[in-house]
Amino acid sequence: MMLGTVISIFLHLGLSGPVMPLSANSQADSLTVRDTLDASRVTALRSAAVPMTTMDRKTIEALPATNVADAIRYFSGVQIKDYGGLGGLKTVNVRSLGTQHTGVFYNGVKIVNAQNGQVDLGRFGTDNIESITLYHAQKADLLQTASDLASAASVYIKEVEPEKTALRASYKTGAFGTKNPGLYATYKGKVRASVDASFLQSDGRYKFSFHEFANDTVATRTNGDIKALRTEASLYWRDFAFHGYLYNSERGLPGPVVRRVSEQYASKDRQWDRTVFVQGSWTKRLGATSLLAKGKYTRDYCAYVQDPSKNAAVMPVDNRYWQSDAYVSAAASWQPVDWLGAGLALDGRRNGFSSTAKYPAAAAVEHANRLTGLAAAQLAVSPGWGWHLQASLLYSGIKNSAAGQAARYHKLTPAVIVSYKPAKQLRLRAFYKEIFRAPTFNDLYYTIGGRVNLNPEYTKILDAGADWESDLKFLPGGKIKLSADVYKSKVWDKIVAVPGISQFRWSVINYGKVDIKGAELNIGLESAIQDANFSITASWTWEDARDHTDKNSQWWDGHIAYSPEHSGSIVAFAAWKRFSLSASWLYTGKRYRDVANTRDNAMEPWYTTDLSLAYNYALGRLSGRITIDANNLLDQAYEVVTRYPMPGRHFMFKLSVEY
Amino acid sequence: MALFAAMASCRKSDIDPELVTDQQIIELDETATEFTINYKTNVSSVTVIPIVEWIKVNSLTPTSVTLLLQANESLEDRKGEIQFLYEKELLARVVVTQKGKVPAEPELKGFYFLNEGQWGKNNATLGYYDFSASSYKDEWWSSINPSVRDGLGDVGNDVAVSGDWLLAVINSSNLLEICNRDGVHIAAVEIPNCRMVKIEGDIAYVTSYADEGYVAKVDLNERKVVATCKTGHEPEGLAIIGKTMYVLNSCGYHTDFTGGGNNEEASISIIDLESFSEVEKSMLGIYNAYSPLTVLPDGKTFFINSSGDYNAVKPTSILFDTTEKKVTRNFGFGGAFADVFDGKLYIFDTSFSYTTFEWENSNCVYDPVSGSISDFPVDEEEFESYGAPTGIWIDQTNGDIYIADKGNYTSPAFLYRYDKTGTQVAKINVGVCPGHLAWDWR
Repeated sequence: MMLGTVISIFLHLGLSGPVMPLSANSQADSLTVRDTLDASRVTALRSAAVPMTTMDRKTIEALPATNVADAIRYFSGVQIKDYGGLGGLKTVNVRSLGTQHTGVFYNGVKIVNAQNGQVDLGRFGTDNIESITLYHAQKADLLQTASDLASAASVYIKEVEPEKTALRASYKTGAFGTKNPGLYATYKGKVRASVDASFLQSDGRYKFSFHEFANDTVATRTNGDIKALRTEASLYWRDFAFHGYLYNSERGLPGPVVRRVSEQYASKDRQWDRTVFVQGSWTKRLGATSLLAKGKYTRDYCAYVQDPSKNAAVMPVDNRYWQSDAYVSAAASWQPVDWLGAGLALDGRRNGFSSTAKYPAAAAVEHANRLTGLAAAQLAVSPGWGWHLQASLLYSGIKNSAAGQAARYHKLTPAVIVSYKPAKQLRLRAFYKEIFRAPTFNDLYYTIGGRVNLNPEYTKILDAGADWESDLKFLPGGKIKLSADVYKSKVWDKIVAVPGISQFRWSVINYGKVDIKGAELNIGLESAIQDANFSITASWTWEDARDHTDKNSQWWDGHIAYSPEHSGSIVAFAAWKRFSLSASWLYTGKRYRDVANTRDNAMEPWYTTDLSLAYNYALGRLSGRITIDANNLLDQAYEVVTRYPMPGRHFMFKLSVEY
Repeated sequence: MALFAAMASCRKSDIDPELVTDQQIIELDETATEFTINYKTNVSSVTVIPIVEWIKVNSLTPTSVTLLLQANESLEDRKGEIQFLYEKELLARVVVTQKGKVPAEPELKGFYFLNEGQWGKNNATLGYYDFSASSYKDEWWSSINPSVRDGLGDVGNDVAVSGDWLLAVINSSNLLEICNRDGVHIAAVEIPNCRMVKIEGDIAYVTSYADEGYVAKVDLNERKVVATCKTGHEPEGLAIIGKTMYVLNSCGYHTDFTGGGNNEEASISIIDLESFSEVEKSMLGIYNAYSPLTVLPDGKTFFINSSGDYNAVKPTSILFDTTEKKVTRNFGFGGAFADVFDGKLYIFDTSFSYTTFEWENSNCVYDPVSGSISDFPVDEEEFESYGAPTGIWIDQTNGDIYIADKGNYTSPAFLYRYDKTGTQVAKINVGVCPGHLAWDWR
């Protein structure tokens, strides 16, 4: 149900409007296996008042993606930090503003890690994901929670909603000793419900090669194993949606590849994680007014162990961390006439944190908590002649406290979105947004280096862009879409943790200032001829993100770490009768692993080519899909994070059966 | 690619390449124009490299090599070396010298400088500063040893030079890098969580945090650990006086940084070198002794730093008398770095205060004879432009003071040189996290 916002009425552009992550009826149904696949919905380009990219079920299914991070890599302006393998941490950073400036929403509710501000996208499988959408600035919806406005960019991961009663079993296997059985059941009656369980096991072993100095190194990655069980349940009833999530895992942390005499002191570090959350939402439209309520409760447990009896070279560490997140939100929008609307939202959040960590290498305080209050007001005006204006003001009040040390932050941050549509096929748009991120518990209460008088990290973003689309007469069913953006942003008081004169002395300081400018270009083409259809999407990003912290530093004006000047992707998709094939190509240009842009710190450009071939079968009442994925087909040796080599060519096979 | 890996490992384990020469040192006559070295080896082919330009290989057989001397070479400089290699691995060396040449008084030629690099980035560098050229080359070691797999390694923690040995302790790579004085890689000996090194003849002693703390005795010719001696927890600095070795047990892992007060007291293990066993442990009454053992000019007193627990226990520094085996002075201020010059101890310490959130300097000069403390020659204001000052080394020939700055800890930083009056005379570009220096006397 598209809620009655100005946006949905006004900004509809041909094929599809902006994706509403919490819309109650989703259009796609992954349980329906169509005889002929439709590539037209694969292309990730849609038009909206803010720059956004979305990937729907079809695309996600067609890509050889195991987790959300694998899929989101193809979005322009996105940098995924990937430590490699199925168990390696994968975080998202949008337009070089930093991981903590990117909000990640799962089924409409923000995931919060108050300890370090990072969300591991590797923990979200793609099997039952309906869509993944990235919005820069914020969604141009009037009815949304205040948390939706509180990041520089937001990624929305939305699960498939049940549309029929069915049972599906799947099994994936292949490289790294991967065994990945899954079970998925849906029910549609007066209520709609789904239960989803997936087990992932991998030994994480893969060959990698390095080229350094005069050497070529070929070795095997070890201690990258993972065992994870994810169980989810959803219930939809009238205007209510409930969701439960349980994740339990044990993994090895392989550590960086460094010089060693033998492998006996290679990392044997272990980590255990357990996450459980329940969330619910309610939406209601009453004439010109729409109402929204959301709530969520999360508990996280993490244990990190370095055991000197298993690896004599390490410091003994047996750290346990517990986090809780209690969240409520209420929002309303009001749209009395077509050309005017307003929205209000109020969010409350409490984050608790406990730790047994004794060593500063990973320690925060024993107990800490954070209270967050957010209030947002929005106003949208559509005066006609193709114009749309939307402004929002967000108040954030945050209080962190631990052992009598309180750190308080109050900020008012505005955002303005302007869109102009001079013709049916063309939209011009711009936005300006100010936003900040509060220091995390680690930043503030790091036993050794934390300091309660840290300032929040502040960001200003300016963006202008255009979307254009047209039919292509010379191609049967041909369509072309273009989207282009230029942007400029600035980060102040970047919070940086630096190691001190001994390994025990760290300090967390407000250090950095970063100036970023960039341009993004996305092109989508699609065509359909009888039983076959094709689509291709290409994206390219140019970015220049420079450190302007200290004018006297010899590294002043250096490119910040891990920000490539050029990056891009091409995803091509073809479907013919029951077959479908996707080919995807990802490129990351030269970048530096440090603000000192020396030759030694330069990281080689890399590209990967992936192929995925699928066949949809039907056998009586059974139907399903057979998939073969070839990843890194050309066996490129590359690193996303320095000294964390990524896997070479590898294959995965998947079979699903549905009844 | 998998096939190549299998072949490589097969070759390495099946053959242990060996080479024995008929002489280790060749003394040249003034009239000599060529010489021959006979050798025995179990490998099919060897490469012979004269590492000086005035020697050329004339003929090479499976059992001997004949070398020619360039005629126009000055006899004074006839000091060189012949290396025998198999697949880039050094099998043997023959030293070439001028017959009857009297060794000159050692002269300070320069210094070796170890940059720790950033943890996990495998970017420790060993550079060399050449006084005659007034230039520093950070990629000095890596340019000499381009074929050492994965370079110098991850987190350099100490460097030492003595005799013909140049050693570097690479902590996170868990190894002791053994080179000759010219920086040519000879071997790497695996020692988990290794910290600091001292060389005594052809033996190196290396402290290690592993197995609750020990000192490894490394035979540099045999290139392996030949004995270990248990110490206290987290041994850091070590010193040898006569037949006794002293090891400072920092108890760094046994310090309670949460402020809970469960701190284990640091101590000194007194080790008899002949039996290589601990004979006594002296308690120091300090915590987290993250420090080398700096020997005062009297040859029997150590200056030791304590970093405290960053909570109630503040940093301090002490003097420990090895004859009385007790602490003789507690200064009440930190002394993370120190060096001796002209009979005095130059103490350099900047510690971060978690109450004021500022760096606090306690730099001074201590006179062990009078017991007085005077001002540090370099003005405090000088350090305001530093990111994080670390380390002090004094040139014994002229009193020049070298102080390193780690900058932002991730980027290549600077080594500052001051004359003895405290005036800055040079700012040298070094590597990431500069930290350790060894003087090159020859």
